[in-house]
Amino acid sequence: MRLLTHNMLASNARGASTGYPLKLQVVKWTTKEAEPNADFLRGMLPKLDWAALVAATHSLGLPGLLPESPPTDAELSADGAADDEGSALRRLHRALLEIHIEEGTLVCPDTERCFPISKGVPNMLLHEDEVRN
Amino acid sequence: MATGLAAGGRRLLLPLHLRAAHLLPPQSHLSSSASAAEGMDGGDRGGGRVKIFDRELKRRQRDRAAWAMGKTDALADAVADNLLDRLEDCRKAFPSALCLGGSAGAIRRLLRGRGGIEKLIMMDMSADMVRKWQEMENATDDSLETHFVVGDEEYLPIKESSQDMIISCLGLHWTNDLPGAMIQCRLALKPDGLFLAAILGGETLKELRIACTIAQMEREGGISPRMSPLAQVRFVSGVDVDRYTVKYNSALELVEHLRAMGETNALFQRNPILKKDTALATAAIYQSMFGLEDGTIPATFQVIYMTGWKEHPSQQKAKRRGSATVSFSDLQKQFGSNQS
Repeated sequence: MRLLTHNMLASNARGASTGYPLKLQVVKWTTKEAEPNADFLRGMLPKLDWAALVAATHSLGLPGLLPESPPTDAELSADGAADDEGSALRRLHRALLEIHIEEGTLVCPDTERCFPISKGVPNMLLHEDEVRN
Repeated sequence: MATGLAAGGRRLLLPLHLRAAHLLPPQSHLSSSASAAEGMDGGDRGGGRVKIFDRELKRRQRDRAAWAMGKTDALADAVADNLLDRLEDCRKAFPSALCLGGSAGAIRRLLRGRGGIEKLIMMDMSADMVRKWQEMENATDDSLETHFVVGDEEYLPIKESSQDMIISCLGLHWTNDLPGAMIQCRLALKPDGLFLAAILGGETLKELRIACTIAQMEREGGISPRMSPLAQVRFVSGVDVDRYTVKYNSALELVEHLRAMGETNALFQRNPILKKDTALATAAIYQSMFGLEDGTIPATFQVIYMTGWKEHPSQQKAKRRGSATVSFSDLQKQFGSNQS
């Protein structure tokens, strides 16, 4: 599971007011390199919940990876951004798409219900007694 | 609350809430010979608490289907293609999309860049099915960002207003509360987001339904529900319905296909016992009543296509009554003079 997915997942358990963002407890994660696609990242930027993304990187033990406030579109489209490891673009790309969480847990912020992540796939299924009426 | 109405084009799109009402609650064609059909009260859609389908069983059936299904399925592919065709009618792009259960594998494979999707979340109740999609994904070679989640269509674990599009190809007819599932989808959609779904309708497998009923009456003196209640579409213009007829060499082949699709019976009220006599009788009756000249049997699959747009201020709305600035008689004068 990558952080781009994490940014879109919410808990639907009974008792959860928003169920978002899910807290991340990681047991195992890896990095898989991929080609950054500047257009894709610039398009995704406005749709992201930046605070949730930064919190997720903190949970992974990478507090310095992303700045507290989102980069501007200009920063992302700066010349040479794709080649510069430290650029806003590469950092965002790394955070969103190169980090793969293999094993861990997602925790609902309201109800503390735990959703397991196994082999990279989060399981959001609820038990009978947990579903909302 | 009405959603935006997109008129014109060759398909008329009904507002989401109207569509749910016109899809009549599922009707049981077979009533139970034993106790009262409590779970089968198709009329009570109100609280959404009616549990007609055993979702846990459906999940296990889909686990099995993940192993049994071949690379492609002609029916699923045809429906998926038809559903995706609707994207070609829109000029809009949908960067972030969610694909729910059913034949999501077919959707993914046949997408071919339609709809301008950049990020796709594929979600199913069955972990095995999701893993199978993951394997298929590793074998594909295009630049679509695909993410996998195990989740329930009836309890979407997706943040509100986060998706541009939600697609479900042949998955939602197994939900206990179809309008409820659609409402969840609506919540997860961004304003001006699109909901596209294909579900199986009431005429599906009508031949099998009839053959089952007759066989059970003959052999067992009573009937138990062997087939799901499915949404009925009656006399509603503009709702897209397609009928596919698939030929099989025998009723057995039909059942094998259903198993491979994960479409076997998951009713709570199902009878887990199928006597061999009854099964043979069903096959024989099917053949004699519906068999074609070449010895094959046809099976009907009725597919209902649904489309809905989440409301957005930019969508056209009907103007307030009495706010017209031009009257029809003016128009008639203008065009009447041009009439030959």
